[in-house]
Parts: sequence; C-alpha cells; structure tokens
Amino acid sequence: MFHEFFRWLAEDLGKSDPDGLSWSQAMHGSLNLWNLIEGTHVLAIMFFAGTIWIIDLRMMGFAFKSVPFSRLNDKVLPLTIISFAVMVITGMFVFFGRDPLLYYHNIWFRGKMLFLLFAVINIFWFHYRVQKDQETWDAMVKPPAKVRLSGAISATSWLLIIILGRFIAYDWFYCDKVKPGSLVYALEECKSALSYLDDIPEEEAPPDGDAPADGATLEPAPAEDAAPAQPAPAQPAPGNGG
Amino acid sequence: MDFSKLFPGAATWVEGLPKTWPFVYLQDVYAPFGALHLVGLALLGGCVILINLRLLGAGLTEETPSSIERNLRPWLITGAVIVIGTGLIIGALNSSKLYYSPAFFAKMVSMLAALIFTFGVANSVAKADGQISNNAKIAAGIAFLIWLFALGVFSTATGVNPGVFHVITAGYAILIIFGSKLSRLAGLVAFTVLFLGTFVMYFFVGFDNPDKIYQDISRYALIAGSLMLIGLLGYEIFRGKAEAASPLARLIALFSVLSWVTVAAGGRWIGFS
Repeated sequence: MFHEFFRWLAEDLGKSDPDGLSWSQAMHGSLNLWNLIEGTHVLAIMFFAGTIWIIDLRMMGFAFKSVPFSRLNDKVLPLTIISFAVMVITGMFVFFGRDPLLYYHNIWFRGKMLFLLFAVINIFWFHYRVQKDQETWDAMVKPPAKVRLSGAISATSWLLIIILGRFIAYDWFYCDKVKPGSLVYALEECKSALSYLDDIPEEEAPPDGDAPADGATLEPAPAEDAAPAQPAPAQPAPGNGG
Repeated sequence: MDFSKLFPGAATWVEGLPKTWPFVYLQDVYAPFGALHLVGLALLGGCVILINLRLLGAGLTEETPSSIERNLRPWLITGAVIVIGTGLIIGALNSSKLYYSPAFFAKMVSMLAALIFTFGVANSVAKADGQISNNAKIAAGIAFLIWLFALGVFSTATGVNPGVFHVITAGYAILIIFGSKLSRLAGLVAFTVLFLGTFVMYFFVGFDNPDKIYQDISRYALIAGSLMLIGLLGYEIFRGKAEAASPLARLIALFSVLSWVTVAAGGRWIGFS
C-alpha cells in the first residue's frame, strides 16, 4: 500500500548525488548512531511499560488497592506520557535508520502496529468514556468491569507490543523466505516488496536481505548446532565521512 | 575485561553449556525467552523507578516510601524472577559469545551491584521511610564500588563503550523528573546539546569514522556531559527538599536505578559489539 513511499524514504530522501547515500542508508551504515537510538528505545520501556503496567494493575485491582486510582494516576501518568514520547520519537528513527522497507514488509512489525492502534483506541475509550464517572469508582479496591477491562486491554497490548517488537529482528518471515501465495506472503505484501526483482535483476542486494545487525538478533539454529547461530554482527560499511 | 580472561579454565564448560540439560531442549524455543526477558526488564524497571523516585522526592509523593515498597514488592519480585530466569536460558544458549564479551562482564558485575542496591539497601530504606541502618550503609558502599567497577569496565571496552551513553541518558532523565525548575532546564539543554550534537556530528559533519581526533572529540563531549550531570544531580541531592529522604538515601535511590540501567545497557551492547 505504502511501499513506494517507504522505498522513497529508504532510498531517495536526502540523496544529493546519484552515487551518494540517502539519509536512511547513511544512518544504517553509521558506526554507532542507530545502535544508540535503538538502545535508547529498548531501555525506555523500563520507564514506559513498567509504569503503565502499574497503573493497569491498579485498574484491574491487583496493586495499590488501598490507594485511590486518581492519586496513583495523577503522579505516574506524566512520567508515562513523557517516556511514551521518547519511545515514539526514538522508534521512528529506528524505523527510518535501519531500512524502512524491512520493517514495512515485516509481519511482526505489522502486528506491533496493530496492537499499538488497539492500545491508543483503548486510551481514548478510557479517557472519554470510562473515566467520565471516575469519582464513583476512584477509591474502589476492585473497580467496575469496564475499568478492569480497559486496564487488561492496555496491559495485554503493551505486553504484545514488546514481544512482537522483539520478534522483528528474527528473519523467519522475511519476504525472500516465505512461500509466494501463502498467508504471510499476502499479509506482508511481499509482491510489492520483491517487485524490484522484476525491474532490475541482480543489481542490488535485496532490501530484506540483510538482517538487523545487532548480534542479539539471531535466528535459532538448527538443533544440531551448539547454540543459536550468532551472525557476525554485520556492521555495515561506514556510510559517510570515512 | 571479560569472563574468558578471569576464568580461562572454564572454556570447555562454557562451550558445552548449550548442550546440557535443560538448555538443550530450549534451543528451538529460544526467541520467546528473549522477548520475555524484555517484559521482565520493563516490570522490574517500572517498580525500581517508582520506589526510588519516591526516595528522591518525585513520582508517588502522596504515598510513603514504605507503602510503595509494600505495594510493589510482589511485582518487583515477579519482574526480577522473569528477567533472571529468562536471562539464564538465553545466556546459557549464547554462552560462547558471552564468555568473551566485555559488555556481558560489565552487565554481570553491575547486576551484582543492582541486586544489592535493590534487595539489600533500597528496600530496607523504603520500608523504614528513609531511615538508613548501619548495615544498609555498608551494603550501599560495597554496591557503589562494585557499580563503579562495572562502569569502568563498560566505558573502557572498545566497541562497547558507546553503551555508557544510555547510563548518562538515564541520569539526565532522572534529573529532569525530580530536579528543581532550574536544574531541569539546565539538564534539558545540556542533554539536547549532547544528543543533537552527536546526531549532527555523525550525520552532517561526518564524524562517523574511527579516526582518533573524532573519537577524542566524542569522548571529551561525553565526559563534559557526565561531569555536568554529576554536578546537577549532586546539587539536587544535597539541596534540602521537604518530601524527599536524606541525601544519602537519595544517593542510594539514584544508584539503584542507574545500576539497573547499566545492566540493561550492557545487555543491549552485547549484541552491538
């Protein structure tokens, strides 16, 4: 659907001369910049998911039972909101600076975005509907069902967002590995992902070819191997300046 | 520094570890443990941050530290069990790589400090609403030295040391959360200059290469950023603040969070090195 836009983002944006690199490719090739931003993204979940779960647990009646919801929420939420902003901003750079097409045609990334949408819709539902009569349930040890449901949706969504986000790094379902015509092939829009093969055969490496370069991203090895294979941390050639 | 230098005799055992029970059965289901490790980190991190921010005089200021500690204890322990349990599995399955990894060594040393801080010091300080027993003081001193050693290993290991940036980031984040208006502003400006500076240097000036001059400039910029951070945090901690605990309790709270951040940053940079 948006393949052409993300291809432009990946390959054309910021490219000043035909032999040069786009901004995305320059960041992909940087020595540490992408790693630093991705590391910040991952570490920020301590501040974000950790604190939002505490609020969710209160909504479900599992933690801080003797403390009114508002007293917890008013103090913790500013922290959660600021760290959410950090997560979104760093996340956008992580997406941009690796290879936007690799994420765009990735089943886990698509699942993550879906649950992100759920989580955001739940926030609006909670804010504009559930929270309307907050004073009636604020001090309840076990708030009404709608509050518990909203808390459960939030907690589950963020749990799945973390798990699916971690799975993006695995190449099980990269477009060049899935069978044409299969469900995953359709869900990832692999037809457009691999369309470059029709136009310019064997000129460039496939956009999905290079696995994310962190060594922790690894594909579980076949059982006969001693350990999950650690691909050599493919540190791409320095993009600029060198 | 890494475990292969400390325990050179363990090489055979380390290499055979993925083939031993129960890890040999877990190789095909490796990925979910890696993901759960992050889930545990988030839960543990959230609890650690809320308890220690309270000791610093921020966050849940309407509750007493002891009430927060009591309410979060089950979740803190759950997070710690998840993160250590899954960590053992992914660690054993990656044993050969970790054996030679300075990032992993720094992570383990810092974890020792973090465990002492969280379960040996900060919890007892929170339970006593800011009072620090003599035992807690001794444990805090030991944990602090261990953490400094971990930080030293982390920041001097080539290829891994950029990960120290995350610890500095977390330090600025804590400053901006609990500091006074002036410190917040100064912290925000200093961090923005540091971060945007890094960004601009990498992207537009072309600092992205291992030439000594560029490496030195990056290093001194980071050292300046760290010194500024230490100064601002020090000012905030030793300045009297009504809803916070004593300066020593606040130092303990600060190092409790930063030692866990060092553990997490070390973990992430195992993969990047």
